Amino acid sequence: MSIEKYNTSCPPTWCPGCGNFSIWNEIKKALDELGIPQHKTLIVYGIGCSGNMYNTINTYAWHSLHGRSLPTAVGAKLANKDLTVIVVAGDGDGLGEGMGHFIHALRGNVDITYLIHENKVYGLTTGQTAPTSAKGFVSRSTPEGVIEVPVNPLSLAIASGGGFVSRGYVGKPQQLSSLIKQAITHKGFSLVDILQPCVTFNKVDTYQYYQDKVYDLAESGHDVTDYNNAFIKSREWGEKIPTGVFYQDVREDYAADVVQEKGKALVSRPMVKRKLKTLVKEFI
Amino acid sequence: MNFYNILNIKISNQMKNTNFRFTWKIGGEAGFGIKSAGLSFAKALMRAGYETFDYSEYPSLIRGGHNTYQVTVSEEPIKSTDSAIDILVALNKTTIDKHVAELVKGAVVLYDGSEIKLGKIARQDIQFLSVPFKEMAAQTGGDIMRNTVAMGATMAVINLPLKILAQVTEEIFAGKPQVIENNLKAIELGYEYVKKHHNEFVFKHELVVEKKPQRMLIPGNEALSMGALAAGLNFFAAYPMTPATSVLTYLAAKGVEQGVVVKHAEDEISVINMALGAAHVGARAMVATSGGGFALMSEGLGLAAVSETPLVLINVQRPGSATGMPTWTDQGDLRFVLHAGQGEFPRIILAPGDVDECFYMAAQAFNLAEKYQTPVIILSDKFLAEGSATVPVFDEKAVEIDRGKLLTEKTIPASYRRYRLTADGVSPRALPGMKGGIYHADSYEHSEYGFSSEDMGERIEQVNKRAKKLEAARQDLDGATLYGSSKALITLVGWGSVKGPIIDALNILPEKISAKFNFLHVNVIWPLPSQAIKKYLNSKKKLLGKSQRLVLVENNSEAQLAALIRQETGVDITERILRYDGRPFFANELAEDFKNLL
Repeated sequence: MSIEKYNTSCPPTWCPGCGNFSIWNEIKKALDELGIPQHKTLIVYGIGCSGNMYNTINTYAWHSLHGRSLPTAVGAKLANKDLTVIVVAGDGDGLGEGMGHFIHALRGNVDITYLIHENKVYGLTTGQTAPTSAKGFVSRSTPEGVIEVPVNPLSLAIASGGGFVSRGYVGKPQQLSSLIKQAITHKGFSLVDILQPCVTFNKVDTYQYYQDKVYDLAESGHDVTDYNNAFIKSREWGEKIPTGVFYQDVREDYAADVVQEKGKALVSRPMVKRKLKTLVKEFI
Repeated sequence: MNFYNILNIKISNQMKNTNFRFTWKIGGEAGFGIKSAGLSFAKALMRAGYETFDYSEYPSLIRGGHNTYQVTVSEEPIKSTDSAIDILVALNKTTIDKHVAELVKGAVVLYDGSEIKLGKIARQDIQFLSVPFKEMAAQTGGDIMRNTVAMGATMAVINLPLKILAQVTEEIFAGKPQVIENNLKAIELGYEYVKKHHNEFVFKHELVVEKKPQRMLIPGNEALSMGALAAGLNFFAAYPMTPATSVLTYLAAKGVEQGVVVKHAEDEISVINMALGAAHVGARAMVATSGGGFALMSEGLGLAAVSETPLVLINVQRPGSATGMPTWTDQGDLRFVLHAGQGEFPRIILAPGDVDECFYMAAQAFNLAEKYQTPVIILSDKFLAEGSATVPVFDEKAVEIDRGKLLTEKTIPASYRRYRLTADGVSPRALPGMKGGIYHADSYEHSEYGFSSEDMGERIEQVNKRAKKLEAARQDLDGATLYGSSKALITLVGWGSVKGPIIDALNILPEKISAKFNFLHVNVIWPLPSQAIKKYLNSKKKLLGKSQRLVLVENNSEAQLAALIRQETGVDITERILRYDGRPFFANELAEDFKNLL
């Protein structure tokens, strides 16, 4: 299998049956099928079970602070646009601690790919509620049931200027693979929010729960360029759960408007002292 | 080359005695153009051949309130200001009421008698010259021009040719001929009025125009920024915060021209993580903030250290805690930046003492960050950051670019280990994008390969490795300089920007008094130059039976440097001159304090 080369000496540490295995595989396959060299790939991981994918893929990697993977990825991409930058985060890390960064990264549209593992629970810290947990979800930190309504990352993404907004599900690996590839290929900020059952701590949002509710928007005549309809679709949840690409536009990525980004990648330019002649003029 | 050699050349000039120092001050409401008037005045004096240092006070408002700008003028380079004013330009009565007590005997006040009724002023020993600012301003564009009229009047009062100010005015408003015309007319009206109606007034100092080698009039923040640019800065992220904001606005304005990507991010946590991402892939990255923003960056600081990613962080201090006093100054963050961030990790802390040091230390900071793969913090404060000083044009030849053990694709060894244990603790560094260099950079503790690790042995190895780097850095740093004679028995001790007020205060004092003092300036806080400090403070000298006295001068309430010195060297500095009212030390007041020590 040609994706063997993406494995490191560290095996994954997830529970048997964890949805992360599927996402892990699809990421490796997507990179391989797209032919992106490993050394040109930087994956920025958050903190959580999802972030524990960090040791297991053989590309450049950065394990960020909890909630801070997005700004790290933005900085890396702006400094070296020749890298393919992918962010792997959880829904706690990405939509709780990192919610502010989420909104602003969407506004900016820097060309990175954001894969959120949405398991609606905090796994690594052993079972507290997540921002995506349903109202009433009973957890170790909310034994009386969560009072807040859940965040909806897709609605937020569409409202904040997201140029590629999609939802995947680990129970549909082929679709997931295709979404990841499309996301990486899309020039701009690409979101794939991945429904991913946590077999150990979430007995509500399970494979059984999702299996006959999810459907592919692509197979239902959905127009990805229709902004308002995409928003309406993002609110759909219950007996039918839409997956696939909700919205995609051709808005230029952040770097297109940055004069300093033209030409060679910032870090590929020669590092030389700057001349002071023009700089000192205004102070003389 | 040790950049301190450049500074050593100037040391011999810095203890030159001079009695010539006068201070001009303008006051009014925010929105009255106080700052631009002050800058024009300082620049005009520089062009006339004088050395200046300016200082402004303003509340955290946009309109209203009370703003002042003062410029201290001398023939020798100066790095502080005085609270004793010789010329006061009052654009409103509040200015007179608030500052009349600061005026020296024989001082002069310029004010508009048609707007301000003086009433009963307690001082008989100062002169009040009324100049119709408002009426003359009305002829050239309205109230907004009052400060400009006042500038012209000032030139007449100090008896310098108006054309010097005219030249500065033309440059400031270059490209706007109508504005230039109005401004030139305004300064002329002010000038002519004083010449005609107050020609009996003779300024206490005779000023002459002298051609001097070109100098710069530049504030500390811009000097830091320029040093960063000189050293190859190519990524800068920040969130606006007084008094660090001008680093952001300056670099943002230069971004396109100099090829620096400048990002105003959504908050300070984003700022530092963004800068780390850029630094990780090989940018020379920097962030700038004040104490509150630095607090938010604490975790990121530790991340820079554990991932061994080079980063330069500027903290321009203001009084804390929490929101504190945004537009004022102090040195309250010393212990904070020394300990910020959970856990134990190496960091380098530089504390430039004046505008020159801002430039050279900022440039050097990038080399230190990359050589030791460690965060480098630069501590400044509002007094140094926003005060302009006249300085020699920065010498770009003294700036070097040293990227330390940075690998290229060709030099990456087989089975590359990013965090390989080495003799000095610094491992060769590959960058993402390089073939053969793939590695993992972790916020967790990690192995030599960078994989997350909880192994006992690996933990000890990496902790020791990181600590070793600090010792390597210590060999590369100075940070303790003694000004004055080593034979003096009273040693003043201070760090960062107290350098200016202390040296100027000693220069103000007559030689027979100042000869009793010397001054130990610390401008590297960590690793603290303990050996040198111990040497200078422990001389056990005895002169006529008297032993050495140590006096700390610090802009905070807890004497933080004294505690740090005692911690690292055992030397106890029990005499202290502390100031923590949001104001800097004024040279004239310090001179009195020093005299009173005797």
